[in-house]
Amino acid sequence: MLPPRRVIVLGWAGCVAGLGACFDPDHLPAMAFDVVATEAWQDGATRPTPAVAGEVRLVVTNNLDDTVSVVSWNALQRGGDGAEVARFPVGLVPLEREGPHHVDVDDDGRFAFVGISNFVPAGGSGPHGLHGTGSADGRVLRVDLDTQQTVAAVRVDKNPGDVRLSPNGTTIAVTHFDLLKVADAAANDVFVGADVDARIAFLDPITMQRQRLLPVCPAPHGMAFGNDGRLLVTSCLSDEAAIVDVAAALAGSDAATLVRRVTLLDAPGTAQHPNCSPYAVTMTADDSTAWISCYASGDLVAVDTATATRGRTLALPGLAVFGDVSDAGDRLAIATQDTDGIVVFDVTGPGELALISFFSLSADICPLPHTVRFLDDDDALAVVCEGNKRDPGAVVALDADSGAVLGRVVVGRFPDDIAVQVKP
Amino acid sequence: MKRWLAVGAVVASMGCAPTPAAEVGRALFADPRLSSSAFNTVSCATCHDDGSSDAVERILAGHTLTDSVFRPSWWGGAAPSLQAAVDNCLVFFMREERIDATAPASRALYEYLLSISPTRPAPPLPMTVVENVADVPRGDPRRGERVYQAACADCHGDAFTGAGRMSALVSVVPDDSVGFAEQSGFPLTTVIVEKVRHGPFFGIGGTMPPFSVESLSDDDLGALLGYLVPLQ
Ligand code: HEC
Ligand code: HEC
Repeated sequence: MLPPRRVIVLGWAGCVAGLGACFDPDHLPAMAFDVVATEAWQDGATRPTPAVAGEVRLVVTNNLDDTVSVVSWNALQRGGDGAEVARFPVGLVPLEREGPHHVDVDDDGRFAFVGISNFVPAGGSGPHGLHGTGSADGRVLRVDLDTQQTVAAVRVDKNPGDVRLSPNGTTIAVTHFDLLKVADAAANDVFVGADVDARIAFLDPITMQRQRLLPVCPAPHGMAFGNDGRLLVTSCLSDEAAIVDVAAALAGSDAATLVRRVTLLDAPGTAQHPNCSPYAVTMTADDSTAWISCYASGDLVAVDTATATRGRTLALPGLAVFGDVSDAGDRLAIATQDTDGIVVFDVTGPGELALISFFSLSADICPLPHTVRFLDDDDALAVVCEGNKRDPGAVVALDADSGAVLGRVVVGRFPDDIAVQVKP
Repeated sequence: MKRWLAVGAVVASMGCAPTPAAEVGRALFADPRLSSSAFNTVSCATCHDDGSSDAVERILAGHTLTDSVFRPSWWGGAAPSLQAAVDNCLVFFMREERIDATAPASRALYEYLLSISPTRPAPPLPMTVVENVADVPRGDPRRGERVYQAACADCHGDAFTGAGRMSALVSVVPDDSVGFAEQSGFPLTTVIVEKVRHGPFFGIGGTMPPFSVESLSDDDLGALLGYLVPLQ
């Protein structure tokens, strides 16, 4: 220990000699600050005022420009002028396009969980190889929507697909649409089994640690939780769905006992050549049926979640993508592409779906609708329109009864997923 | 985090007025020891002008930090905040961890940046990334030598020998790239273009900064190739 006098002299020497002579970053001199600690690093970026209690905002991932758009639902349904309240960059690597893919927001409306897919074709090349092929591991980011900062990140497997927070908030499930794994296995004449199956990652939303990596099926993509967070259904590229017991998965049970796979077709294809090409899952409000969207055939296939059996199949007007069930549980809405629009079904009848309407969406309003959400006590729908997957896309608000366009706002390039942010 | 913790230990200075934080920040700006890594040899000043150097002809990878605080965005829009912009430099180029915003050293650095940022708001600066690398036609070798001196020599020392380079971790240009060029089957010039445009990113690794089109034009890069890889 130095006698106190020596310390005084040191400090004093720092004063007179300036910093050049005696400066040592490990022992900084006492400083006079002009800016209080809580205001350090304030800058010139414009950030929207954080959402207030009860306010509804939509968080949209823009796959091609590595940004997230925040859209005011209130402004969107009144025409859309100025509805995009923020668009900010996400990602961990400043130069590379990382492909923010799907997103969910916690019940406090504070944090968004964004899957980074590293799948952005033509996103960089040189002697060190091609980028954006989905050959690099993905990440899930925890983004503070109040400050727009990425506050934590966790590595997951290649090509994270859907990202969904469980209704009880205990886990984030992440599917992996790992087409490379399917192709690699096929190159070795392997079409089923562990070499083809990708994992669902379960993550702790608070610590952002991995809770479990559970092998499930080939290229799982869409996903829906049951109400209590124990049941999870995912679409598998092998013309199957998989029903996962989440509670048992988190308790560490043997994988073989907690995943039930259901074949969706009489004549299923393989993951390499699927006939349905399962893409998304929409669960009924009572958890009894998971409706699987077929991207290749445009069919919607029912899976009974209790018995793990296939139910009826409905042909949609276009290729089936993501959907939603109304809060009241009486209606199902599914977006379709190729014939662009939104199909709405009545799900109250016994075991039967009755078509209520098909809202056709024109190319100048909403090219390639990709996902849809019920909002405003089920009176309205929010739809993400991918556009040509190169230029900016849009989010539109529709009247849920008439399909009338209430508003439209342009967002970033190739928008993909939507999550609803509501501050309690 | 180490650096931000260590510098929490502030020496008491009884008997004299405390040093203005911005002044400490100015010293930190030019000191490689801002990073706690023993392998780091660069400071903020290696890659950024802060308005203090007398117009020596230097081509720097990073933009000037004069008026950096009140820009609306950084890194060509890829960084959501000033803090995130600096975090990128610390993590990718200086082997340090992200800033602890409230640590004395980081507050001092901020106050220095603030002191050189009188304009508010200030316009954003463009940063065009060359994503897909293609060869660049070779230009005048004499001009290329000047570009090398202005853009590369601070770190790499003399071309072809590495004499006077910053540390043994810095490659000898272009000799150290010959092996990879042969192995990858790409011309040596393309390998150099890739490193200059991508730095450590796009799967390359290391800590060399990337040069955007704004910091180093294709014409200057072509001249550089004419100097480094002369036509036989
Ligand atoms: C090895 C080179 C290097 C070092 C060292 C470095 N930077 Fe950077 N910095 C860059 C590059 C390259 C960019 C991206 C181009 C740009 O935006 O200026 C950048 C960007 C920035 C930006 C954003 C500027 C803008 O408007 O886009 C800030 C602010 C910044 N650096 C601050 C710092 C600080 C503070 C330090 C020291 C702690 C530092 N940098 C160290 C290379 C470096
Ligand atoms: C801030 C310091 C810095 C500057 C400025 C810099 N380099 Fe580098 N460079 C490095 C370091 C360090 C390495 C070693 C690899 C790494 O860490 O990225 C390197 C590696 C390289 C390599 C790869 C060699 C190998 O081993 O394969 C090339 C080529 C290269 N630099 C060219 C240049 C050229 C040309 C310029 C000027 C336009 C330049 N560098 C400017 C620091 C720098």
